[in-house]
Amino acid sequence: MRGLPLISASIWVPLLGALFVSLWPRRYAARCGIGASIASAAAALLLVVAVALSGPRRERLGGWGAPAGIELWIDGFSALMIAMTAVVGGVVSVYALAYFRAKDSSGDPQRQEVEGRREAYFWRIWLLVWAAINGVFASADLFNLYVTLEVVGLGAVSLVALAGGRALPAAMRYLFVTLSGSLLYLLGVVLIYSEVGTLALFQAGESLIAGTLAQAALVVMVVGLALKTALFPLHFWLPPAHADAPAAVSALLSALVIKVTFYILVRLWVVVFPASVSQPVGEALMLLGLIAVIWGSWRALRQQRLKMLVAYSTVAQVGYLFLVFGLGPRADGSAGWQAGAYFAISHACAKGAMFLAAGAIARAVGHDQIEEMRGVGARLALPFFAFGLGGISLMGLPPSGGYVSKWLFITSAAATGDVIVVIAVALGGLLAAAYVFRVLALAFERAPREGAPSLRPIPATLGWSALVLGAVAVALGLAAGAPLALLEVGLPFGQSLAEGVTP
Amino acid sequence: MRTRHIFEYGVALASLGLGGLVAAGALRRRSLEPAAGDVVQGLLEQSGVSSVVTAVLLNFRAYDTMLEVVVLVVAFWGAWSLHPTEARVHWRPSDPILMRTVGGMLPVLWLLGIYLLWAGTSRPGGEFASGAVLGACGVLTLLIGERVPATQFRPARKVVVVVGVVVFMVAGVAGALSAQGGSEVWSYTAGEARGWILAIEVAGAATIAFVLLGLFSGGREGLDVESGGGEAP
Repeated sequence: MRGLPLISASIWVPLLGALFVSLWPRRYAARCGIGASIASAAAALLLVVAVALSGPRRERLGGWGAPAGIELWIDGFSALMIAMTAVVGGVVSVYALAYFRAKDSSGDPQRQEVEGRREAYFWRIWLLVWAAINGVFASADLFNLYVTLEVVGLGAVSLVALAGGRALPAAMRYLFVTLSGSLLYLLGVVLIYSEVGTLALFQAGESLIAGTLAQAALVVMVVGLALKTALFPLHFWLPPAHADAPAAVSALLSALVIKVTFYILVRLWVVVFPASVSQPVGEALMLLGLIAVIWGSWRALRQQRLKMLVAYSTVAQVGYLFLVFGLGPRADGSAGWQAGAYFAISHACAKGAMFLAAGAIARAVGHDQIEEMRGVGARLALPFFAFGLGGISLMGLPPSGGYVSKWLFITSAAATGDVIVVIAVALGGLLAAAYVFRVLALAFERAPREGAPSLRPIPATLGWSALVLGAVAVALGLAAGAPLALLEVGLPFGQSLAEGVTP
Repeated sequence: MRTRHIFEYGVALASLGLGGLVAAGALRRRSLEPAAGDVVQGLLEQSGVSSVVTAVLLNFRAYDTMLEVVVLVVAFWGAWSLHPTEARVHWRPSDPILMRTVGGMLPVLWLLGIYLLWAGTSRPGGEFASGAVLGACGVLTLLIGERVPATQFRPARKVVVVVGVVVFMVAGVAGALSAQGGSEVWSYTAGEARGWILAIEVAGAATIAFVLLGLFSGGREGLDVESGGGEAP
């Protein structure tokens, strides 16, 4: 297994799948798409198992090696992210099968044409995005990261636009945001290359020294990537884009796409920039993260639409992710970084479950106004149960992935004496409980006798796939050992990252 | 209105600040040796082509170039996934001057595009330059009210969009199979490289040209001026 190009396979299988799906007539899109998704998840999991069993892997594309060629590099951190993409992506694919298939049988040919188009394009663009997300996690080259990031960004914008209607202005704004973010990142790459003369991540990290240039490069890259990750106050584009997209797409965006830019930031922090340069910026990011936790949760509490509530909750959860840039470098060992990585995967499952559930509920009720969902809970037990399971992880209640990561956050913050982080994490959990219970309490109230909302039947797959993701989010709290052990492979946050393995 | 102004001023100030920072950083740069560019010069012999740009694009960093073609493909799919605009473009009979000049220039432009493709192995040119010129040829053809050959067949359109990436991948797998020691994708010897680079360039130029043309026509079916409804690829 050592010689096989498993890293390339994890990128090429979904890429080839996308091209393959596009060649078939529209009516086969879903069947080809789900087949390609299963193959992609299998290729990704094969890579993850290989990394877990036999350590980090490196591929020198074309046999050149850095700095002339491009290298791919997978350690425990990237493997965990690829596993997260495979699990969430696989479940969302199953959901999408039913979500895009369940059409109105009104027989209106124009409507059928629009829905057929939407389904056909969802599969090919989503598979391309999947390939590019794996590409980001596998890349060990600054410019290659830019190109993969661009595919992810353009693909995500196209997926949002699939919803049509009011999603179009949101998609347009998202397009401008994602392009400006990538260009700012590219500007930083140009600055780094002009000094160190290499684009390879680890070599650049070895030669870059603290100075004005490194500081400038770091600041533009951080602004660009924080814009794409929607860190407060650069989050303005996220709620409409994530809330108005089709539910399957919302889940993919909130669960996976924002993690991609977070991942790049962590790599820049640990590998590329000297600590003296990144330390003050990290403190600022941590402060913004704290504000985001409170602000996002507060806004979520006051939303009228269910999907808007979940989207603002993402703004809050992004805040937790950015705590690691303050905590990670200071905490003993790699506890701070591990908290961030674990938070990323548990948020992916929890938020994926909540968006999928919200989509199923909205499909059944016919709208997503929270106030008018009074009493529908008993008849939509499955999606509301999934919503609640995701909520448990957001609140950080045991046993859940959210609990484990918040516990890691709090222990590392307590060790470094950041009391304010402990308070904010606790307060964020309380606010999350408030907005989750607000929805659940309304839904499980006794239905009003007059004018009880009538429900449309929905495919059972919608509820069940949301439930599976919610269950994974909870299971991450019961079986935290395996993911945390995977995170140790190749010591992604230790000093030895650059040497890693000697092939 | 007021919040909009505040937002705009905020963005302007932030951009100025970032611009100043980047300028300060760029002025203080210390170029370290050897840069990747020098390494590439030393390896040029083994790449199979004599142009540095082509060697970097299609051999040393072939993976980046493949993904750049993927960027074009995703842009094309993204544009064509949207509902084509209902608004009818008002087409008038072509201007005789436009017909004569463009009609006369088109064959020359086609030749220029193909020349740029061929020139790419030894001097500036290659799939992106050639694709841009050929795409422009297509746009001009549409502007004078003519049809671009073969684009009315949906299977042909579907194949042309993906062929630039598919040939890249085939070359990668072939390189992995023929590699001695290890199985890295695209690792072939200088002798084999030349043939593969040519195949990649031809297919890539076709995809790039067609995607540019397709983005211009903006999802309007058939890629010609008359047609209205129907199905996109």
